[in-house]
Amino acid sequence: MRRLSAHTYLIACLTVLPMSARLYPQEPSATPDISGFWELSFDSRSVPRASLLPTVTRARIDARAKKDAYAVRWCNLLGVPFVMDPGRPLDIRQGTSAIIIVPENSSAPRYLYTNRSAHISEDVFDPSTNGDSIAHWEGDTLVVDTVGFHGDRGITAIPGGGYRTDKSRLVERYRLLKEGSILSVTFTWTDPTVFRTPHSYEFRYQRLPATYEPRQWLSCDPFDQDRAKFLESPPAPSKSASRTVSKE
Amino acid sequence: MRIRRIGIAIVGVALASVSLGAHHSFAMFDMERNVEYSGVITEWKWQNPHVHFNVLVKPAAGIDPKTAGTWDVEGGSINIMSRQGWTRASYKVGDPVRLVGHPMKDGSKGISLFYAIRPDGSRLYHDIARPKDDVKK
Amino acid sequence: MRGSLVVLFTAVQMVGAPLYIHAQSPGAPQPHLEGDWVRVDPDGVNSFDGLSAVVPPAQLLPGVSAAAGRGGGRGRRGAPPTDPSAGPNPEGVPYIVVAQPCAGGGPGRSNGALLVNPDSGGVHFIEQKDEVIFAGERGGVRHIYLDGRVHPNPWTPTPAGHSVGHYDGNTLVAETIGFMPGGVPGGGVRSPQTRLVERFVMSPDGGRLTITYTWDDPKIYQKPHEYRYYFERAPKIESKAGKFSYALEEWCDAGDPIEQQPIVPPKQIIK
Repeated sequence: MRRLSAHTYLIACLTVLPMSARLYPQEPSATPDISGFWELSFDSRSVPRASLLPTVTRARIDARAKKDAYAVRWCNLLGVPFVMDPGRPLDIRQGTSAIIIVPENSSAPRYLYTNRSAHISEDVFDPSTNGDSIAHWEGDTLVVDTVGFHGDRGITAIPGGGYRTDKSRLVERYRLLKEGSILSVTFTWTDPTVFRTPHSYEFRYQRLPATYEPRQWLSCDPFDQDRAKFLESPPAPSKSASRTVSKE
Repeated sequence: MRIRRIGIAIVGVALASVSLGAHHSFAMFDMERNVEYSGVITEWKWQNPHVHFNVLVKPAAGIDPKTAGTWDVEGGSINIMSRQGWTRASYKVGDPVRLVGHPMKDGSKGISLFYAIRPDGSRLYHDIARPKDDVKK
Repeated sequence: MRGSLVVLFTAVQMVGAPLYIHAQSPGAPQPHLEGDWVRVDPDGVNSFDGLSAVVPPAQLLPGVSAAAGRGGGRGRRGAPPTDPSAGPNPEGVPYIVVAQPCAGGGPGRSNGALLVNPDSGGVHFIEQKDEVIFAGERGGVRHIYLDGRVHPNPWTPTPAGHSVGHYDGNTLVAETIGFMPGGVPGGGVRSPQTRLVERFVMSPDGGRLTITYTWDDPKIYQKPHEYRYYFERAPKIESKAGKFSYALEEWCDAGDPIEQQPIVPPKQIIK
């Protein structure tokens, strides 16, 4: 090969070097990014029936339902699991120390801490409706472990049956599907006072356009007497409904 | 601001939650007076809406006899106090405590907590407000 | 040889097309604002109400009424009694009561309103390239969009307005419009047309945050109304499992009778 002339070298340097800078690839992201606006549709839930302990009687379930109704009636924070199916989109933002899940209505956001691997100890952690969540990545799956739930606050009913208590543990697995257009979240509840076996169900959230604008919370006035009456008093049956239907 | 020491032999600290309501009135307290109390906690309630505790002052030499008795001490919400270093385990019934607070204007035994004084002399403030002698610029 | 270079050049172009320099773009978030913060009192005002007193007074246009006593304070000095209690208060029953019980969905702390004027509660930032979430553990979340979107038009005014932002070096600059009418610290006033610019400036060591608020509205202010709030990293909370910083959940039950006590306390029984 003939030796290159100096000017050829110069041209090569001026041309190739900037290109070599472009050649240096961005370090591939180690973890997926689940940030975005996500919404459940009518066909987004796969929820089997939970296997409950015999001690979870009808009376206990009804008592729980009353407490849940109280939380709704008084506009209290509703917590997990409600916040993951709140009837409106979720805004999920993945930061460097935590992932925040922001519901679009009256409930506290969830923080999934990726900067620690230990739960806050019971001597100082005040049980809450959202509990204490720590998260880590296993390949392309975000695994979230939550304990520290308050057993009497918010909506405690769990999809498929059962309810959260202060003994409950929730493990969630988040995965992006279909090139990031779907966020699959598998929820697995264990509780020695409620479930006979671990209870799992899956939600698949659809990604909304990046330009989506979250809406303002709807009003919730616990001192609105009309609202209170609406929630606390079921409507009386219609008189027409009691008439026998003609067989003609 | 003069701080008067009031010996408190037994301080009952009942920490009661105070509402998280947005409009909280301190009008009943003399917020310009800082008074020091020391005694033992008799009841401790770490809950919202406000942390609340009882302090029992026993008569002693140098103590104004009018200040002897049980004092109601009002703190703030758990979150606000947690952010100042308080935890559920900060005090318990039977613990001695020194604190500085703003007394009720009408002379009844009520205190709006300003800060507690730890054995090493450092302070546990109720809220973000500070006296002039303890600010960081 | 020249032909080899041309081939090489072309190949590099083709291979290099999808690749790019691994450098942070000017709009990418700086990671250090993220975390937990709490306001501090650098003036030694002695009480929370005093914090609002250090906000300089707003210079309003003639004819514009100041929003007296709003913003900046959690207490209300001289609040009139509403329902005086008739009986004595047993020992240990808290007598510090509130004029307005908590209401989770009300406009007071929901929808991010409190984060336009943070109080003593912790605040948290989560930074992602398209959005910064500014959340308060005493209620509410603000969305500060970094994705280049413009303020929607039309926009129904909200307690916290609509915020867009960008990074100016290490400083997050947020612009907000679309507020519901109301007050501003320092006796200021705002309308849906009022513009708020917040500059979130970190100290070099990342331990302190200064938020500079600048309210401007040619129909309200003689000149932009500016003041600052100061924050420090929230101290880590010590537990048996270690020292961590994390968001606290503030519980409030409007149905709790204690929330509905009268503002004038019953006379205490003194033992």
